[in-house]
Amino acid sequence: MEQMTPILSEIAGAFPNIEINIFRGPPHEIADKMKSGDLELAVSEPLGDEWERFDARKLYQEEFGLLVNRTHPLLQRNSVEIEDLVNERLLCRPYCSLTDMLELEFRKHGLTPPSKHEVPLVEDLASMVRANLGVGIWPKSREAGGDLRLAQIQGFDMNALISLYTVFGRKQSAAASTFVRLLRSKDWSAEGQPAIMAGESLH
Amino acid sequence: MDAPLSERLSTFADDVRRLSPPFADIVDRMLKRLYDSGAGDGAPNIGEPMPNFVLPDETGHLVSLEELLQKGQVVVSFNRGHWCPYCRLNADAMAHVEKKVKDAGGQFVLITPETAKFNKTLKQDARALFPILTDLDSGYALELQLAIQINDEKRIAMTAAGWDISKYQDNENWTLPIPATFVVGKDGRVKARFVDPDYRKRMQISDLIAAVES
Repeated sequence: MEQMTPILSEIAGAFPNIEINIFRGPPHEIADKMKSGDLELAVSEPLGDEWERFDARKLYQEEFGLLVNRTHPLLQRNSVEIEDLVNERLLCRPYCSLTDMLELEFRKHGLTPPSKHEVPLVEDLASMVRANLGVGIWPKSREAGGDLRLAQIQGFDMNALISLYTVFGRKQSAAASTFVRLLRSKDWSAEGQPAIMAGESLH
Repeated sequence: MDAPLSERLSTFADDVRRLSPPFADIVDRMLKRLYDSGAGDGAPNIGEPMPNFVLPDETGHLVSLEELLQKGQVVVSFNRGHWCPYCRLNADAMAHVEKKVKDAGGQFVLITPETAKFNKTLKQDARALFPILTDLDSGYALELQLAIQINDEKRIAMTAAGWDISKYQDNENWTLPIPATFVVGKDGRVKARFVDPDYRKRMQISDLIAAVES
């Protein structure tokens, strides 16, 4: 959402009477709302829906890591393998496709996915990691604080392609059309890039 | 560097013809097609109102003509993009007289069909202060009857030269604006204009300054 706020601010300036209705939900619900016309556009991970009228334009790729406490034993290892996480508790956000992919990865290795806590707010996720309630799936572009570290799982890329979705042939409001132009014209090259976390070297 | 813009453009065009006659021939055929069809004839004429635009600049801020006109006259310059050597020369020449135009009560705004990343490059290379706006899918250029379709022959030649504009424009349309410059008075009407489908020609800087000062 942080990436969208400057754009929404431009829209609010250009359309002073606009009322913005933001929906956050799982991809299939977003897809349904797009099809029914309840949503004019979406910025989302892949919707997983092959409807021919969806027009998807790639915006950027968000990279993630495993957020752990600085004192967590995982950091003592040279590399983190999927097997190392079996006894961990996962902290994940609702509708996060990476959680599903990670659980699938466990099953591929013949392992039972670890249990998890669902945490709606990303800020709360960092607090819960700090309180040793688990390890969290965390966007690398976001700073979490100097007492936390990001770990990578060997052989498992954690990233999500973020795209703009519109519907072919559907008339857009002037505000939605301007929003689309702002999104498409924006220089996204810096988005999804790692934020330097204190005391951490990034490679 | 101190040569007039027209001389610099002409020198570059001569070099292209000398170094790549087949490319120059393709350009000639494209220009004949454009002249025969009256491309650009429908663009706003002197005395006519300049249609408003609301377009994002290279930093993501929306810029409108109405808003700019509240500060003074506006020189609206359509350019093809950062990849175009003639547009780079044009942007460079405009950047050189930016202060002079400002002192005369004017301001530049460049418009290209390219996304912000590439407009940033054009702006940095020209060392310009003026905003460079993205006219995505050439929407505003179409409204002004300045958008042209690149035919297959030219598209293949451009791609071979390393200019795949689809990457710069975030679409596969292969449209470009006819390079054009409009000097818009504070009343929103066109005071002077230069429209020529031959992208190797641009408004003389001296004419542009004279129009702002008039």
